[in-house]
Amino acid sequence: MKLELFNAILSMDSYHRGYDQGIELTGIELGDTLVIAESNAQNTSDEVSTSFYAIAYDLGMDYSEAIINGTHYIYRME
Amino acid sequence: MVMKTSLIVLSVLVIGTAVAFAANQMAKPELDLRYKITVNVETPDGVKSGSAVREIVIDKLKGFNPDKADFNSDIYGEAVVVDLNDKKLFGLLNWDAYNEVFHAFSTLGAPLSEEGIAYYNNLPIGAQAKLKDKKKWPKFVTFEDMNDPMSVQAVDHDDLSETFGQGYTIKNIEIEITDQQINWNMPKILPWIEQYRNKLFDGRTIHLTNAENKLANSLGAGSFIVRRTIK
Repeated sequence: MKLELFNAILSMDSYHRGYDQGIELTGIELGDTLVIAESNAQNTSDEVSTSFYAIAYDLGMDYSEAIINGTHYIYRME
Repeated sequence: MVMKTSLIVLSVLVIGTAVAFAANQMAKPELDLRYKITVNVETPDGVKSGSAVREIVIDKLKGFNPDKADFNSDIYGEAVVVDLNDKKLFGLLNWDAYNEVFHAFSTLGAPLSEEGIAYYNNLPIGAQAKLKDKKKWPKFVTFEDMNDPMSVQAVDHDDLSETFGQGYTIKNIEIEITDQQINWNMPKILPWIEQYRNKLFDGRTIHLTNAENKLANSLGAGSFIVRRTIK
């Protein structure tokens, strides 16, 4: 699968997690990719009051990807 | 001189646009509705109830496209607390708790539409409805130790007896349109709650998929008390 297509899938996934999501996703697996962590989604948090949202995925093969307010960052795990 | 005049005109335009945009954002809400949610629990000693007043505020965000209105919904208030013997049952305040009202009262239009908002603006004080769809019920929790946020436990709304003993079931959940004020009792019930505005009950500031205590890692003050602040 092309990276651009995979990133588009992760973008759609991230839009439906956290807070104010359209569809409430509960699973944490997208094929071999796993959701690792999300930023604080509580109503009272500074993250929500400033419309901040970040999510991290384990892509497998020592790579992880973070989406921070819609921007994708891919990391190699050391 | 021409340059200076142009700069002044440009500044006025920019400031004017910003002020107009800000005024739009701070315009009177389309809907500002208070409701009382009451959880009635059958117990061996009869029905025990707990209520909380909550407030829904819906703003219309016009943006720059007059043909497309977006709506922003906010919910303020507290979790419902029902005293059951030596424990308390908390019906949490989810970020989309406003759906409790939208699903309790029938409406001709979708909630976030002109018709839907008009419907709810016309609901009289005292109007009542039961929240029949269990999928829209609040999430319920209790604390093994009221002084320890890490002792939070999920409560299955279909099986209260597992947590509270035989004879305990949720009888129903009622929604009533009200003009009562929000009580803000939560800091008296959970004196430590305000410490968790910006962190979760397990002390972390992020949600981890593999957290040791997933429930504590998913909850913070926002599930129990949300105050209205000036935006």
